[in-house]
Amino acid sequence: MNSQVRSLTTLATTALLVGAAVAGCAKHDGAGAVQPASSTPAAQWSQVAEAAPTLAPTPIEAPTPIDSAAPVQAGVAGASAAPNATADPLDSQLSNIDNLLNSINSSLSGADAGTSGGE
Amino acid sequence: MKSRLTALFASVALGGSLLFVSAGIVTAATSPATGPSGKGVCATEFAAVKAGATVDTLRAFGDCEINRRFTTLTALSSKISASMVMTPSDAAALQSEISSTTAGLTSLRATIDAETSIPALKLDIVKIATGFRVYLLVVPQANLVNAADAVLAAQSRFATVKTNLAARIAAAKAAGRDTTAAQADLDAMDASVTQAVDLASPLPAALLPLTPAEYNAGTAGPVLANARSALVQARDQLKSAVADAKACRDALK
Repeated sequence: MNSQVRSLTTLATTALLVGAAVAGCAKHDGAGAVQPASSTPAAQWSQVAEAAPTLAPTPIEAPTPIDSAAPVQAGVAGASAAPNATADPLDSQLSNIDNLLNSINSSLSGADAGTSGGE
Repeated sequence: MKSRLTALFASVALGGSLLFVSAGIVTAATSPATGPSGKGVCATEFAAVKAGATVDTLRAFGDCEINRRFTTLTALSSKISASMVMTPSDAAALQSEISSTTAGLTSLRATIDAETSIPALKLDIVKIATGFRVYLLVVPQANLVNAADAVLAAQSRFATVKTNLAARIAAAKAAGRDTTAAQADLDAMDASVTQAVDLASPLPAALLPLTPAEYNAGTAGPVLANARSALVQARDQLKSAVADAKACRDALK
């Protein structure tokens, strides 16, 4: 009999705790709730940047214009995140060159698109 | 009559418009004030001319063809302004060319809008293509110059990579390691970059002076084609240089 009472008490306590947790999440816009998709790429990037310190300690590459030759790394890892000790500067240097190659490809395509414009 | 009209406007409405009209497929319903930039967008106006060449239909077709060139030139100007690789002098030369082309087309549009003679209108409409060569000359010119400047901009980026890798090779050598393979990769990277730069260096000076008259005379087309071919080779050399840089790094691991 006592064990049954204890089981019921434990069950009720668990249910109360789960209920409180769900309510708490809802008040904070629901960490576990499904987020609506952002309407713009900028908004999505902003959300990624905010989440980065806790969710992604490694640097995240920022989107760059096609013609951009600027470095692509935008170290968004927060102060609380551990620095990436294995990051090789050569990676960002080669990534920078990849951007230039993309720019060249884009321009070659643009030159072809021009000739097909109808003249 | 229809075949004569088709021949007359072939130089303006080459490709898309003509093909779409002859196939009975009209893809563009309207022509907004600034005009779309793609080919075939003046198909409706062209179909109207084919159905009956009047002053109104000819003007509408001419205005549409000029407006879509304005759209193309505006987009091209924005692309040049946004380019982070084009040299200021090349950008200035191209912006100047775009400005003069826009001014010329604006003047031609005013002529077309004021023209009341059908034979004169037909000649004016042909000038939209032959007098400015927006699609066959100006657009490829700008894109190829941008590509050439991007190749040249890569040179300084590879210099940074070379400094980085040379330091690693020196450190490995100081530690008693065999760096023969790494040094060979670095030398290969250097050689590829040099070849790419040699291919791209003369191109802006060859491309920028080209004129619609030279295109019509058949002398500009080969210059554009050769420039494109050289840039494809230069791009492949840069890709090879990237692979050599990675091989060099891997050889030192």
